[in-house]
Amino acid sequence: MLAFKDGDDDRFVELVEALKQRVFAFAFRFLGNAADAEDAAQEVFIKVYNARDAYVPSARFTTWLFTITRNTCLNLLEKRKKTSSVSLDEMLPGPDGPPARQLADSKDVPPAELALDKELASAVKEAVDSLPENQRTAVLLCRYSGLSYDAAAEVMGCSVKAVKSVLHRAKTGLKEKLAYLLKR
Amino acid sequence: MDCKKREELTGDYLTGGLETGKKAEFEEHLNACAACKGELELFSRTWELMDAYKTPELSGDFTPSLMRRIRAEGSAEEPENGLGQWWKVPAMTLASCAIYLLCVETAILPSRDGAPNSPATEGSVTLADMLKEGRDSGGLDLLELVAKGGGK
Repeated sequence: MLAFKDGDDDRFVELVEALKQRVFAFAFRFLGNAADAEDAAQEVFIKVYNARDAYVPSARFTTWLFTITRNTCLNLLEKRKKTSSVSLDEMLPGPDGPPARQLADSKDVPPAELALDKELASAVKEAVDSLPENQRTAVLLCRYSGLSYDAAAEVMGCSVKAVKSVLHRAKTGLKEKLAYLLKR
Repeated sequence: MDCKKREELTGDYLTGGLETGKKAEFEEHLNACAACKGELELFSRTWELMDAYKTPELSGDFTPSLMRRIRAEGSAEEPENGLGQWWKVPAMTLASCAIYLLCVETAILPSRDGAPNSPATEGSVTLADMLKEGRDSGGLDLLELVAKGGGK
């Protein structure tokens, strides 16, 4: 990041290559679909590029990156609410299982996963999607993005204690929602 | 430790936030209570289940497309510092001139009786009035001054 900050665009490309999948994965799980997630990831890296002069080397880069990612996703969600291009009915589970939108977009679930355990993947996705925003963010940061509690607290703008508390509420919610799968 | 207390401390236990004494007490209760042990196992298994939520791979065109966007946005911004803003300087200059003329007209330009023109001065004549009245005003107006100056 420091080399890129000095104006080296090749280093920026290296940075994107190293982190794009993590940013995309966060956005995918936050927004629920691949097209929006890819747009969000592009927007994140454009913001990083344009804000390189504002980056303070003392700040942990991943913390800075995920703060931008989370804010970008929140903005996209806001925009989506306003335009409401996707109706709520499309997001709700169909009578025979997972939401129709998930099945319609083959990019959302990798083919291997579809073959192995489509139902499990859909159930977990649905459970994560149904969490309140702060709980979902805590799960995405700590469980999927591998951030420490300290880093997650910085991204979420709250204390470490609050992150742990939110995360525990999320786990309790997930446990209840996925209990039927665990009892099999 | 009872089951209720165990439930309260589960979050801290799972996030490694329990101090050594409390942690030992917590684990002691788990060993003695099958229900609580089962409950804790459910937490762990739920957390493991989360692995099932995979994400697709990004398209190979992501980085080239990103760089194209950055370059396009960069080149679109360039004219802003050059010819794209050409009209802003004359606009500012014109606005300044207009303000200057207004000040001259209301404060400095002499009225018919020679006193400085002021909105509060009774009988004062504004530039607009002079232009309206033109040569019929009977006094030395701006048009005459301009004509005289131009004739020299």
